[in-house]
Amino acid sequence: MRLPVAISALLALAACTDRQSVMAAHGPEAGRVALLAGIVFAGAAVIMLVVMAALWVALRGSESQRAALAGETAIRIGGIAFPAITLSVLLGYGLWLMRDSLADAPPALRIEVTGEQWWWRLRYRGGDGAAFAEANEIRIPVGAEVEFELRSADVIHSFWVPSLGGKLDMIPGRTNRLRLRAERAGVYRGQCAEYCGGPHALMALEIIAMPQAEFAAWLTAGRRPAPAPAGQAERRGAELFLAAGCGGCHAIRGTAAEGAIGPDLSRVGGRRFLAAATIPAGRENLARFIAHGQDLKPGNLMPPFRLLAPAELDALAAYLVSLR
Amino acid sequence: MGGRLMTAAARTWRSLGWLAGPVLWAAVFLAAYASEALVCTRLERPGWHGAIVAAAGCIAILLIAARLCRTARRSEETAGRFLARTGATLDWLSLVAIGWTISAALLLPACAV
Amino acid sequence: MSANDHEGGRAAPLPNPLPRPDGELEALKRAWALPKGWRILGAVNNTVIGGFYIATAFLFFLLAGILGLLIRLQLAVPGNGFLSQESYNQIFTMHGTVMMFLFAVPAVEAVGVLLLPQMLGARDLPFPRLGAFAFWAYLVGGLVFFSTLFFGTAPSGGWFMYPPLTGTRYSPDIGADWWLLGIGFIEISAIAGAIEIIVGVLRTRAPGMTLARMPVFAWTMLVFAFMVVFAFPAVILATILLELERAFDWPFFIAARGGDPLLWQHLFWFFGHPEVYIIFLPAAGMVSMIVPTMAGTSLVGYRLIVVALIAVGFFSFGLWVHHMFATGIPARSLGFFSAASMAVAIPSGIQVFAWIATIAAGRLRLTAASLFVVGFLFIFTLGGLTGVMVALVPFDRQAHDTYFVVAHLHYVLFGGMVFPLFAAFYYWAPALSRRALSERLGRWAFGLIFCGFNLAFLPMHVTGLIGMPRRVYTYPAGMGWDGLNLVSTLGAFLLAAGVLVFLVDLARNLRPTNHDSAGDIWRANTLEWLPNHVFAARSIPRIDSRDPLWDQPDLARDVDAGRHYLPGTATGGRETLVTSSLEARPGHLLRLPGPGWAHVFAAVFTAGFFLLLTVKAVALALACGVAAVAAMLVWMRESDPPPAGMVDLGGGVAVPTYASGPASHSWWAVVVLLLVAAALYSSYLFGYLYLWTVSPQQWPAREALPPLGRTGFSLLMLAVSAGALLMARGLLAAGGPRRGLLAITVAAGVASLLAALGHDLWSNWASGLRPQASGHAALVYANAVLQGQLAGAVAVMAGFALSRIATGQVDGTRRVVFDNLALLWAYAVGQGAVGLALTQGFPRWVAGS
Repeated sequence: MRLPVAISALLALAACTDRQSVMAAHGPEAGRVALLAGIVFAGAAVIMLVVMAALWVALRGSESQRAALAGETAIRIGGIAFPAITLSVLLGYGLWLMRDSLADAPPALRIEVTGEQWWWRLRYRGGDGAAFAEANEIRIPVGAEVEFELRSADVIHSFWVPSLGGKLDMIPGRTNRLRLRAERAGVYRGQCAEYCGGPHALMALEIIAMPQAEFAAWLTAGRRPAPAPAGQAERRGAELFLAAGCGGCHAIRGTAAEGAIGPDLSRVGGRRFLAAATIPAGRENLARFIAHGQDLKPGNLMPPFRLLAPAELDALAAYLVSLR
Repeated sequence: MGGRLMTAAARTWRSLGWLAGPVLWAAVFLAAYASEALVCTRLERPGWHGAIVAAAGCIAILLIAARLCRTARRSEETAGRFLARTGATLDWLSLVAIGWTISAALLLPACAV
Repeated sequence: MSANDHEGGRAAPLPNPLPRPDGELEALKRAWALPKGWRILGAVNNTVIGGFYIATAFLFFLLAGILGLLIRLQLAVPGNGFLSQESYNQIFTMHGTVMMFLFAVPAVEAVGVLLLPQMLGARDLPFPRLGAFAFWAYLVGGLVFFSTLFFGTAPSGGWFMYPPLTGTRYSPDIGADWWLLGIGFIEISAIAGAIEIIVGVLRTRAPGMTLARMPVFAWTMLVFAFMVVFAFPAVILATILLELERAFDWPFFIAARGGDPLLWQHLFWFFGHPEVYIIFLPAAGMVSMIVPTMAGTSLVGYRLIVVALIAVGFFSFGLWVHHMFATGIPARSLGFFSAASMAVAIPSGIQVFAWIATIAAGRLRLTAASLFVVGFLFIFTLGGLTGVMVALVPFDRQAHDTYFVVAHLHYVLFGGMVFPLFAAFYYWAPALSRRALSERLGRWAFGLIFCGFNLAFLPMHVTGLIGMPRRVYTYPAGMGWDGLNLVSTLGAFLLAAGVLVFLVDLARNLRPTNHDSAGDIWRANTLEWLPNHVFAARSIPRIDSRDPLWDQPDLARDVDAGRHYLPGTATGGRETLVTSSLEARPGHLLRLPGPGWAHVFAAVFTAGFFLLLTVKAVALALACGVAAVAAMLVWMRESDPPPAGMVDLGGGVAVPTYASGPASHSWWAVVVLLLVAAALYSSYLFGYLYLWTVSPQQWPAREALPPLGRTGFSLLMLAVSAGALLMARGLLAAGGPRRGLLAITVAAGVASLLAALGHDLWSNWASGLRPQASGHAALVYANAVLQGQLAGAVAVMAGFALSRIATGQVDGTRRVVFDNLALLWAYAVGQGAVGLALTQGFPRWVAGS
C-alpha cells in the first residue's frame, strides 16, 4: 500500500514545480508523452502491486493460495504470457506515438541552434532570406510549428525543453531536426542534457513563446542595427567595448564589433538571463560577469576582464543593457 | 579435409542447434538494422526496406516453425531432451521478439527521422 | 522429471571402498598445501584468489560508494560550493567507472572463482594461474587507476567517455588516457577470467552433473562469461581507437576529417548494454541458489530460468541503441531497438515468477539472506518497470539523461546486483568462514540499506521528471529540485550506515578458512556445502540429481570419507577431473600447477606496461612489456607436462592423464580466445562499414589504391603461411625424426604471416595513404594494428613452441603446445585475408558500382 501513496504524493509535489517539468506539458509533443507517462505510471503501479501481492501470498498465504502459485503454470502466465501481451500493447502504442511525431508538413519557422561550450548560438532567417544571430534566449511564435536545426560546434550537446517536447542531441558533423510547438504563450526553460564537460550544469536556455504579431515585430527588429548609445555612460561603454577588444569575440550589429566566437550581443539588454540562462540579467550582473565571470560561471571560455575599473565596468554594462 | 569439416559442422549443429531460435532473431535484427542504414544512406530507396524486413522475418519464422514441429515429433527421445525443450521455449520467445521487430517496420516509415 | 531420476544411480555401489589406504589423505594435503606467510601471495588456489578477489572488489565498492556520498553532499542543496566543478566531474566519472569496471564485473567474477569449483565438484578452476594473473592485474591496475583521483588527474569525461569531449582537443589532460589504458587493461583481465569460467563450467563438472543438473549459478556464470566474450571486445576496440586518436591523431571520431563521434557510442553501448545484464545475471543466479535452500524446496521452473538466462544473453545484444534514442537515428531503427528492449523484459518476468513460485512451493525462512532477496525482488521489479518505460522511445526522449534514469539504473543495478551480493555474503559465509555472519546485524544492515536506498533513489524518479539532468555539479534554487535532492542525500547516508553495520558484522564474524568452515548450517542442496578442505572435497562426487545433498542423503559423509572418485592424488600433484561438456562423463585427469611467482610478475609487469604508457614513459613501459612476456614464458615452462599413463579414479573408471584436440581443456580455452578475437574484429568490421555509410565520400578512387599486384603479394604470403601450417601439422602427425624440418616450417610460416602484414603496411604507405588524413585512412591502419597484435601473439607462441620442439617436448601425442599455436595461427591467416579483402577489395568494389 505504501508505494501508490508515495507515488501520488510525489506526483502532487511534482505538479507544483513546473519550470522545467516533463509533466507540465505546453505543446502537443510534450502532451503526448505526459499522457503516455501517466498511463505507464498507472500500469506500473498496478503491476508492482500484483507482483508484490504474489510475493506476499508466497510468503504468508494459505496452503491453497500458495499451491496455486507454486508451479510452472504460474511462471508461464505471470512471467511469459502476461508480459508478452502487455508489452505488445505498450510497444504498439509507443511506436504509434513515434509515428505521430514524425514531421510531415514544412514548418512555419526554422531556427538554427548550435551548441557550443557552454552556450547556444542561434540563427534566425526572416521571410526574405536575411539572417541574424541571437544567443541563449529563443523566441518563437505561439501555435506555430518550429523546426530547430541542431548542430554542434565542438562536443556533443543535447537540446531539451521538457515542457515542449523530448530532447535531441547536437552532434559534430550532423544536423538533427527537432519540431516543437508551444500552445500557450510563456517562458519554457530548458537545459543541455548531454554532459559536455566543465560547466555543463550551467548551460541552460529559455524558449519564450510570444503571440504571432509580437513575434513578427521582434523578428523584423532583429535585422536592424543595434540602437546607438544614448546616454553618456552608454557612449563610454560603447567605446570601451571596442577598446577592450570585446568585439574580437562578440558582435553587435551595426558596429565594428563583428566577433563570431562568443554570443551575439546586439540585443543582449533584452534578455532575461546572462551566461546561458544561468544568471539573472541586469547592469550589476553584467558588470560582475565581465570582471568575475570565472566565479559566476567557472570554466566558461571568456577571459575575466579584471583590469577594468569599476566605473568602466559600469559604463560597459550600461551600454550592453541599453542594447534591446 | 572436407569430410572432417562436414562432421565438425554436423557436431556443432547437434550441440548448438537448440540455440537456433535466438540466433535467427539476431539475424533478422541485424538484417533489419543494417539494411536500413544501407537503404537510406547509400541506395536511397526507402521502399525496399519493408520488403527486406518482411522477407528476413518470414524466413526466420518459417525456420523456427519447422524446428518447433520437428521437436514436437522428436519429444520421445530422452537424450538431450532438456536442451531440446529449452530450445523449443527459446524458439517461442524468439518468435515473439521477431514479431515485435516486424511490427516496428509495419508501424513506422523507413528512413524518416 | 528426467533430470532428477536418481533411483538408478543410488543403487550402484560407490566408486571407492573403505578404509582408504594410509598416506592417501596426507599426500592430497601435501599436494594442495598453501604457501606460508607472505608467500601466500604466490598461491593459486581458487579459495585464496577468490577471497582476495572479492575483498578487492568490495574495497572498490566502498571507495566508489564514498564518491557517491560526496556527489550526494554536493547536490544536497542548490548552488553548493562543497566540491569544485572539476572535482565533481572527476568524482562522478570515477564513481560510475569504478562501480562498473572495478566493482561490479570483478565482484561477480570473484564470486564465480570462489564458488564455482566447489559447486561443480572440481578441485580448482582449470587455469589456476590464469585466474591468479587476472586478479593481480586487476588489483594493481585498479589501485593505480583509482589513485589518480588523489592527484587530480582522474578522467572527467563521464564513465561513457563520449568523444569529441574525450579527444585531445577538449580533454588535453592525461585523465582520459588513464581511463582508456587503465580500463582497457582491466577488461582484458575480465576476459581472462571469463575464459577460465567457461572452460571450468563446461569441462570440470562432477561426473553425472549433466547440463540439466548444473546449479543455476553455474548456468548464469556460463552465460555471463559468453556475454563478456562477445561484449567486451567492442569496448576494447573503442578504447584502442580512441587512444590511437589521442596519441597519434588518427581521426576515427573527428567529424571534420571523416570520423564520427557516434561510432564511439555504437561500440561503447554494444558493450554497455549487455554489461548491465553481465552484472545482473550472476546476481540472479545467486538468488536462484539462495531461494531453494531458504525455502527448503527445489527451484521451480529450473528449465524456464535457463531459458530466461539464454534469452537475455541474446536479446541484450539488440539493445545498444536504447542509449542513443536521442541521437537522431531514423525512427524505424529506433523501433527495432525499442522492440528488442521489450523482448528482454520477458526473461526477467520469468525469473521473478520462478522465485515467487519457489517461495510458494516451500516455506521461506526469513534469514538475513532471505531479507536481502525479498528486498531485491521489490527493488528489481520496480527497476524493471521503469526499464520498460525508458524502452519507449517517446518517453525516453524526455527521461534520457535525467535523474529518472539515474533512479532507474540504480534500481536495476543496486537492486539487481548489490542486494543479491549482500544476500550471497550472508548465505555463503558459513561455507567459507569459521563463523556465520550475525543474523541480528544482518537484519539491521538490511533494514538500513533497504530504507536508505529507497529514500535516496525513489525521489530521483520525480527529480528527473521535473527536469533535473544528470551529471550536473550544481543546480539553481527554485526549480522544485531542492527538497527532493536533500531527501536523496539523507537516504544515501542511511544506506551508508547500513553498509557500515555490514562492515562491523564482517569484522566481528568473518574468519575465512579453507578447512574448518562453519559448514552447511542452512541444510543446502548443492555441492559447495560438502565438507571442504584446502583441496576442496575429499573425493569428487558422482551425482544424479539437481539437489544432490537432498537427494543423496549420505553424500556428504561418503564424499568426505573418500568413497567417491579420486579420493587422493593419482600423480602426486594437484589434479582435477575433466568431464564431457554435455553429460559430464569422466574424460581425463588434468594436472594443475601449484603456487608460483611468474604469473604474479607477469601481472605486475603487464600492469606496469599499460600504466607507464599512460604517463608516456615509453622506454620504461617497453621494458615492463618485455619483462611481462618473459615472465609469461617462465610461467608457461611448467605447462603441458608429458603424459603419465592411465590413472584409476575408482569404481572401474580409468582415465588418461593427457588429452589433446577438442578433449583438452586448453583447446577449449583457445577456441574461446578466438571467439574474443573474432568479436574484436567484427566490431572493427562494423566500424569500417558504419563509417562508410556515414561519410562515403572519403573512400578512395581505384587509382588511389595500392596496385592489385601488391595486394596479391600480401595474399600470397598469407597463402604460404597457411601452407606451412598444413605442412607442419602433417609433419607432426607423421612423427619420426624430423624435428628440424618441423621447426623450420613453423618459423617460415610465421615469418610469412609477418611479411604479409609488413608488405600490406608498406604498400598502403607507398600509395600515399596517411592515417591522420581521414577516418577511412585511420581505419585502414587500424586493421594493421589489429592484425599486428594478433601476429605478434602468434610469433611469441611460435617462439615458445619452437623451444619446445627443439627440446623434444612436442611430438605426435604431446602436441597441445603446437595445437594451440595452430589454432591461433590459422585464425590469424584468416583474419589477414579478410582484412585485405576489406581494406583493398571493398573500396575497389564500391568505387566500381
